[in-house]
Amino acid sequence: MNNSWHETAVRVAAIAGVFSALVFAILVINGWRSVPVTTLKAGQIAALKQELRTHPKDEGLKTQLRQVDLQLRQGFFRRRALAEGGALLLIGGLLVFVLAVKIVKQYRFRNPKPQDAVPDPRPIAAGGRYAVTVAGVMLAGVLVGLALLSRNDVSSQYLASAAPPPAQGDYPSAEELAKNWPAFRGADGSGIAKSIDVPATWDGKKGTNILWKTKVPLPGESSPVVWGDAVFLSGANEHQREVYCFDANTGVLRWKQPVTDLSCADKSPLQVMEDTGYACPTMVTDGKHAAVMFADGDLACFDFSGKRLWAKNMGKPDNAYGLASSLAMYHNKLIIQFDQGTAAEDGKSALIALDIASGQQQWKTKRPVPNAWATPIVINTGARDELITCANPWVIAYNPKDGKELWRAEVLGGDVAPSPVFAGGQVFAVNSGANLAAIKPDGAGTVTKSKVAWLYPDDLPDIVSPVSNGELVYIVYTYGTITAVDAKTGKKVWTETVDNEFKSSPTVVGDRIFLMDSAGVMHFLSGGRAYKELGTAALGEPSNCSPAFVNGRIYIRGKYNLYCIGKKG
Amino acid sequence: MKRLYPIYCWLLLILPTFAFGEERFPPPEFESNYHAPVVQNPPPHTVWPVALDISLLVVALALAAYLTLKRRSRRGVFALTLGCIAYFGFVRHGCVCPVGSIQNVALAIGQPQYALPFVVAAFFLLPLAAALFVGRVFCAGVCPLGAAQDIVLLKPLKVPAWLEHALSVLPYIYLGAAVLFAATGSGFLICRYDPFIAIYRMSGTPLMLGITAGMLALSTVVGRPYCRFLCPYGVLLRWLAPFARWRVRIAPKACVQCHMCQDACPYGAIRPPTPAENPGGRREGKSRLVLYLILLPVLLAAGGALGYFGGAVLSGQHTTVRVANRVWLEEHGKVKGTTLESDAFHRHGQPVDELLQNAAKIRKQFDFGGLLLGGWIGLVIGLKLVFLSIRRRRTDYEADPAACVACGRCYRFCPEEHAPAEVLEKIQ
Repeated sequence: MNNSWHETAVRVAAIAGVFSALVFAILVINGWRSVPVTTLKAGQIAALKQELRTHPKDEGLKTQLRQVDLQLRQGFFRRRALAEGGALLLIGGLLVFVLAVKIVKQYRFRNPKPQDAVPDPRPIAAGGRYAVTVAGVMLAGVLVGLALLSRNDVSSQYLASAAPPPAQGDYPSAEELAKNWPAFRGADGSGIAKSIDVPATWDGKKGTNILWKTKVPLPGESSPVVWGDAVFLSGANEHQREVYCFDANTGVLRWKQPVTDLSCADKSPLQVMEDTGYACPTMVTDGKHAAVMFADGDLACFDFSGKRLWAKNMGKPDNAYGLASSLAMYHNKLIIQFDQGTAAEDGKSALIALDIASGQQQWKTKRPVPNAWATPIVINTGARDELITCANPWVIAYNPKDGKELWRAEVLGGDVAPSPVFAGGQVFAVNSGANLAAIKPDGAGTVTKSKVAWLYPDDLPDIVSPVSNGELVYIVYTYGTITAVDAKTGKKVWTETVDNEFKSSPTVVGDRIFLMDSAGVMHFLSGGRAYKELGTAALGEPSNCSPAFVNGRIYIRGKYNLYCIGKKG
Repeated sequence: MKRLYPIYCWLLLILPTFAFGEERFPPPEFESNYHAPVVQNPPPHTVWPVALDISLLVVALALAAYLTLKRRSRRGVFALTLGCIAYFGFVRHGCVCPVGSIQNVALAIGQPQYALPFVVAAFFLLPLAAALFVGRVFCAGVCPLGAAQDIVLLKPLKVPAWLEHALSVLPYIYLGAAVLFAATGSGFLICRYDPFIAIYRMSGTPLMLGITAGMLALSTVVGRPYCRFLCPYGVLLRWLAPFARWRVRIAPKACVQCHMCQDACPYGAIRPPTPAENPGGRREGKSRLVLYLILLPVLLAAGGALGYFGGAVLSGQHTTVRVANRVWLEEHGKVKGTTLESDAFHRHGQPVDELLQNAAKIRKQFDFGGLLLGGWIGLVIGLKLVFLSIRRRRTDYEADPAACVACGRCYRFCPEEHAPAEVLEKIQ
């Protein structure tokens, strides 16, 4: 019985071995024969393609090309099917072979023969030490080799120069920032004017309280920023991008500089919405530098004399409506909220800080959000500085020094365009279809449940940023619904629907709210707990930009002109 | 004919690994009636496959422990090996496996934005927990890598002890390198050079197929070469298994010192009894031990220093650094033309200085990581010399708990396992 099993195992092993060898031979022949066929056909296709370029309308050539291509593909998949099936057969055959051989070995098994003496472990250990020492020497040789190769490694060439420059500490004080209008909606981005002694009426057409009016060469939706006697503005169309510096006292265009020679690797045409345009992000200035960004990702920085200090392309933004987030600033850092992609999973969004003087990157933090159009703001909570950002679905606060996340709250949704504001110790963030949310900015981690003071779900804006005087929060829906919400309780105080369209964001000016409609008419509202329009003033041309309030003057960009409004004499 | 037999086996084991080395086919470049299917996002993992994987691992570990320690059945272990090859190998395609999970853990530590999946954490921890109580039962028949080697072992040769000692430092170095590369986000070295994954996935690059073929061929005559001389997870199991309360004990009652178990073990994991040491030898041994203990910090420091200065070359394995190096060379006119990687970078539109800054950051990580890796290598060599200078006392043949993979082969050869008590008494 045993012998018969033994013989059977031997035969099975022999048959499985021969079978495996045959299958392997077929696989080798299959692989070997297919190579020249592939090459030949591929060469034939290349030749036909070349011929088709010279005779692009030759239908016969096209048919021939398709036939050859089809043959090539059919052949490829036939060979692949054969290879797959053959490999399975081969593995099966080998498995049977190995098992049969193991059975044969069982029948031929002989026990090991014990020897008399137990080997002395000392020479074995000595040999082991010697071998390990040799291995150690060899490994040391490898490490020395790596060290020697590293001396000339390319990364050493740029290691020092690529390091972020140390913080220079040369940045404007809070007082200097407050005296000027260095960024979108002022120094803190909350739309609260420090200079409140401004005219309560003007007329752009008649020239009433218009100190000067200057034509802006290229269109744009960016708002003016002002430092001292310089007003900066950007303009662009599909082919040109420019930066302008106007004299704040006379309106004279001091200089304009093109930003046109930056190369973006993605050469495909830029798609933006007409409402957004090519120059939507508002510039920033720190009194020495003025930085600008355009819809195609071009970023540049100039000094006050118009000399371009640095410029770079940040990559063409993957943004559904066009880049609209304005630049922000913290100390000597230029902050860019570069949110892109249709979904957070795209992984394209980031918050980037550059040294404003050199353009060198200081830090970059990835953001778990899709494209957004809101502008980040820097706030001081009393305990620390925070950089507040809004996008779908998060309001996220970062440490502006290093870009580390401080807290986040899930209160937004949809296409987030309104920027956050900070007033009365609370951050207010809002977007249409989500909420107006009041968040206490002293949290850590996810604060949706712990730090969101209240949510207000009605009359929400889709473009216009909110404003707050600390007591009330004002929100404005594009098509004319203005609502005041109690900042402490989140309860509606009043709501009013007017027959105007709004895209410009409101400003708190003392006890008044300045709100300009898209026709360029400024509406003066009472900042009290009841809706009351105190008056209006017309620019004389449409405008979607937010005004700058500096030194008793208001700077407003109209569709065609830049206006300076102030009390004459 | 007998001599040709291993060669024949080698050939047959090598050959099928090349079966699927087929090229991918490009899509048509001209208009046709063919409509490319819409790219489908794979659905997220549901709970039950994860639960099934973890449950089967637990069951397999428990079964391996039962078969090796309680039933002492080599046949049972062999059957379990086949089962685990089938499920963890061919059904799950060798992934996730505890060996590779080391890298996920290292990545989670090195890159906080990476969240360690629960199933990976479970696969990393469960075999280690088992080793702590019942020895290396995971290696016995559960690990698909060990199983592949075990099943093709046909004619085991003894590896000389000196060579075994020298090669035994390799797993530690492989572990250190794998952790460094994973923690810096440079890649999963263990998976990239997994010698058996090509079998379980029935596909692989020519390099992978070559490694597979070589390792399988070697495994027919050397018992588990990957497990003994490369496996980084085996290092962790080696550390924990000696603490196991229940582990492989060859003779059920009393060893008759026939050393048949040592001759039968294909993995060199049986240690013989030690003879008495003379006083002179003991003094010499103590002096040697003190010398190596003094040498230990020197080796650690020297290795660390060399590793630190070698970090730059190692950092070239990280994609960002590699691309940055190339782009820098192109920008400075030191090379002509572009590569696929540099083209892709330029097309993406990321600023060059941002790339260089990112690369510089990673390079610094590698400088520090190189220091740690070099120090680790020095420490391993030093400790190995120390351990080879420590005299251990054994009165019987014993399975080395660190090296024994609990395959159960030795049971069959132990006379005490089978012989009646009176026969054993006579032998003794």
